Amino acid sequence: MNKKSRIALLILIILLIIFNKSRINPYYSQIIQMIAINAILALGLNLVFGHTGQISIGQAGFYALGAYTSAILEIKLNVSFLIAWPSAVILTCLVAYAIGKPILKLHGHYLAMATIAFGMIVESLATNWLPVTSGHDGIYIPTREVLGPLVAQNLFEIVVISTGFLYVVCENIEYSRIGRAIRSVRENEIGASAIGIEHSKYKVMMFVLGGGFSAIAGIFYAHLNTVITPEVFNMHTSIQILMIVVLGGIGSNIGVVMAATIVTILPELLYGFAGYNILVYGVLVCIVLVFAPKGLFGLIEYPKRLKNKLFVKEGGNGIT
Amino acid sequence: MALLEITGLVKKFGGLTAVDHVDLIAEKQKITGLIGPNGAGKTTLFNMVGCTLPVTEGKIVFDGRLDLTKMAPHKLVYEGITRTFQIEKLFKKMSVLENIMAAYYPHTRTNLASAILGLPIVKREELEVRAKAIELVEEFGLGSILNVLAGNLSTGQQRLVEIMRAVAGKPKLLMLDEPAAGLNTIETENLLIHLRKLNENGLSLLIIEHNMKFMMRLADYIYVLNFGKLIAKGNPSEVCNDAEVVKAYLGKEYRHA
Repeated sequence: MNKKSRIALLILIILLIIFNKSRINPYYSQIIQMIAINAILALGLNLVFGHTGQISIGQAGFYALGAYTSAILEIKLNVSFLIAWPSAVILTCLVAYAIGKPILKLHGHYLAMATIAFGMIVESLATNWLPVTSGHDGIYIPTREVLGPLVAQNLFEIVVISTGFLYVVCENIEYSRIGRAIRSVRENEIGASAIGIEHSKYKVMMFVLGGGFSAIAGIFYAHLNTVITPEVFNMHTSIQILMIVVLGGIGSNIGVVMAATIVTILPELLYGFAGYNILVYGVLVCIVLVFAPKGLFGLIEYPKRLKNKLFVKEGGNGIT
Repeated sequence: MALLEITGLVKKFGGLTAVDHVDLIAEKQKITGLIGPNGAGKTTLFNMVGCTLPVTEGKIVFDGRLDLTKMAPHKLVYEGITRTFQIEKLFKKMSVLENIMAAYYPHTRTNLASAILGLPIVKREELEVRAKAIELVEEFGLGSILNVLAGNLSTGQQRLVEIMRAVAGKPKLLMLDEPAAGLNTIETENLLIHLRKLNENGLSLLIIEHNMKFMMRLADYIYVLNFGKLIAKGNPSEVCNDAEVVKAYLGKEYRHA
């Protein structure tokens, strides 16, 4: 990540915080928070799917684990959030490790099925384990009491800054030895092991990291929404996270954040279509995929490619 | 001195014996060739040395001390063996530079934690690896395709990239599986020059090849496999005139070559 984009990110975060503090419209603040949460979820999946090439349609499972663990610890066991939040992330990572270790030996459709199954198991646990999760009644989290007034008031800032931090983490990973290693695994596992990369290790590592990201998103969601119910964490959510990654241009962090923004705002804008919003939504996604197969990131790059095409420099692109 | 020593190597696929009690020695700083008709078991043997295929019976000893029969394939490069594949296993959606940079993996140390935090060490290592990779690519005369996606290259260039990737791992023994297959005359010449140069710099090579002329000009010592059995060995001219080799593989007109 270069200096320019670091500064741009910093400015964006400051602007968002100023916007929130000036209390122009709490509805907009809420949407920004949802964008941040979706971005964290998608950045996590992007590590697994975009960079390492391992599909996961069970991210909502980790999302739920993060949300429920933190909520249960705080509400039912009266643990301070300072302990509850890290415990929720660590527990989710451990679960991701236990699940990922065996199922990441699978490829393609089989891996997709296994991750779907994981998501469904978590969802039905949340629905049916009544004494712990309260099932469909959900858990109510009085954010102000749990976090204390100071943290609760600044939750927006915490969420936005964390998102920025996680974005930087993703960028740092991408442009490092680790990033190259996981991309090698995505491109060719046998080729990767021929140059000394243990592919199973990196697949599990990224799966755990992706799970951790989801858990963080889950914790934020639980405390922003103040109520968590199993329906929020169903397969539809998993698919939506996957869709954000695909829409953003698989493997591009900035594209994924843009896609998270669009996917979060779009349903709000399409509110007027009532029952047809899913239809409009689907058509829009199809249009993006047809005209920008590399996702939104491909669209950003388009002017650059056009310039290359028009003013071919010697050795510039090199494809002869 | 023997760098790689294979004794009594056997591979059975059910009832089929693909490699049948083969003994083979790859000398240090020499180019050892392995030839034979299709289905002779050359690649099977290679895959056993490359640890991607379990051995039924026999011993593979590297550097006089290391048993390769029970190693994980990703550990080979740390011991000093790298390989290329018959069907290239390049990272096609990564640029040539990135392909080569990735191959410096065993010789770099950035771990997940330092990568996440973006420590200065990571950046320094990144620049170092980049410089080394560019140097290597330019040594192979491919500086002009540095930023091209590997999947967009011609077969000849892809071969070279895969060889560069194997060289980047700083091996003692480089194993090449049919490096000249599908290359035209100029590309083959080019490959020959590069391989000789690597050998002169002290690298030992073990090569499977179908192109006899190529092998005759390159190899110091040749082993011939047929139906999994070793039928001849010797320096190129000896092998060329061996009656059984001529019958099984080369054809009569080769006797006079």
